[in-house]
Amino acid sequence: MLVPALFFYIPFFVIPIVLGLALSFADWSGISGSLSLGWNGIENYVELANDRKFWSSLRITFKFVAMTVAPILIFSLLLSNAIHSSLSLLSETVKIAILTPIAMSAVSIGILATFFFSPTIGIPTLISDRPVDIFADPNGALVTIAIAHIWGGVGFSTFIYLAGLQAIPEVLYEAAKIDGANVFPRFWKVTVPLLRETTIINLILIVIIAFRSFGLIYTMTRGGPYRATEVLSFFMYKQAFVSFRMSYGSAVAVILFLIILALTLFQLRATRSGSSKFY
Amino acid sequence: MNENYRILQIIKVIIYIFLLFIMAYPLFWVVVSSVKTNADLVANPFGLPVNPQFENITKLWLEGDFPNYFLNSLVISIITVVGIVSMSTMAGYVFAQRKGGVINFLFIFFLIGLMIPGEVVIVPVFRIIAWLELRNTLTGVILVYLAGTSFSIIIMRTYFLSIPKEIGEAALVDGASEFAVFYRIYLPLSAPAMVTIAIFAFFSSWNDLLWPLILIQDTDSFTLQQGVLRFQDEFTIDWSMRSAGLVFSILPPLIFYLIFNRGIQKGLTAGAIKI
Repeated sequence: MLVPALFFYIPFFVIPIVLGLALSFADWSGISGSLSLGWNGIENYVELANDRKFWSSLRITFKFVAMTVAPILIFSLLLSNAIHSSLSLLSETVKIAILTPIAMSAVSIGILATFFFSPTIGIPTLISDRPVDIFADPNGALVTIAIAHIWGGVGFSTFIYLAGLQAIPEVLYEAAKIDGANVFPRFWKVTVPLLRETTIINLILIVIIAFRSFGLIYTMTRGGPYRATEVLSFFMYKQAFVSFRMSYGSAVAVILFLIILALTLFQLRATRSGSSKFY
Repeated sequence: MNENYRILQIIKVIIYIFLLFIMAYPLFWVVVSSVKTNADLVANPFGLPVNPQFENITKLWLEGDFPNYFLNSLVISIITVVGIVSMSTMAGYVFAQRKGGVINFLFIFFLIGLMIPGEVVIVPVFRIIAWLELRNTLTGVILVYLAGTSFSIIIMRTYFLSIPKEIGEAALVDGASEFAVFYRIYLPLSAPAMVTIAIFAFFSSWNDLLWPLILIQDTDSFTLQQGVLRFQDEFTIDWSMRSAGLVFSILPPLIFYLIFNRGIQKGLTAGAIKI
């Protein structure tokens, strides 16, 4: 009964991992159609280390991650608590509205944001009579993408926090209440410490998702203006499929993989060490 | 204390309404925009439509390639959901029931899939699909999606482990075959987990852009996401037409979620009563 899953998993995932690693040490353009690889050792990596576009895309990626992580984490923590603490009709509606972006594609969210910030029909028309094009400004473009990313990402993190909140025994709150703890002390002294593990999981997931962001950037700016929004995954795509430097693109993929692997391992360690601390 | 509590409640409601507005307004806005004429939308972007009209929507479905994109995405997503759910249910069952060297090794083998994001393998997968001459076909994209079973296998395994072993053992004693135990006992009990992985599989296949972008260049095989992007270039000035396209790309996963979200609750209660 394992055969069907293996039948697709091996040729379209496992073999590509090995192949991708091999490709990053080779010189293959992808258009020639020939299957033979010319080995060239660590040349791709040496070139990467000297590629200013690569370093700039890495910097933009970190900037993007830094801009989005804290707002998503804070908003989702507050939202999940608000939803969890009351079961009124209003909170049910809020729940559906907040979770809706989970069902939306990056393309849809990106187009929606393009509409909202467009100089013709968007928010800029409310503020200024002259057409203001945020997307033409290097900083403005990245901020707009970050806002769209936060809007689309809060739902998923709220979902994870809600699962974490459901695992907190109600007794603890009742005990705190009897001890005279008010709403805020209860939040800081009971909820926040008990959500420590969920927060770590959430944090790492948010960082990983931000690192992998591709669809929003493709939809909203295609890396422009002047590469100001060219994050690592987009840089990789461009190298491999626009410039047709497939081996070079594979080397970027290996770097991206190493970053995400480091984050995942960190997550596994962090969640294992603190799992039974509070009970 | 009581006074304090009331103030807090009021603040909470205000925050709720504010957040609801931020999250829901863009969605409301795009729906409203799709029933405006373009002139109306440009003149009055944030208000309600002067004369609601469905011309955009009829034009969307009767002229142009939109129905084709929609159908392509639907075919890809349905095959992916059915494939992922059936494969991971079987694999998850094996990993839950059996222990041993080979099985443990294979489980870790699948766990690797969780740690490695798909983008990392775009170049080699592109190469393999090209070698199989499956570029510009829906099959190529489906094959890639069907490889992504790691997450759902783990969900199914965890769920199967939570079902008491005695149920299956009792059936075996009564003379049921091993397959019947899986098919008639474990499968119906695991409906909620299957719904969960079905929702995830549907979302990820319907909403994905990266793989179609790389594997499909022929507009006849475009998925809806590519189609909606193409719309952006085609109707640069016609904002209301673009809104109409957007509405119909958001609706299917949303409907799927709302229907099966209730299914999860039903599945949970039904399962509990049966046990």
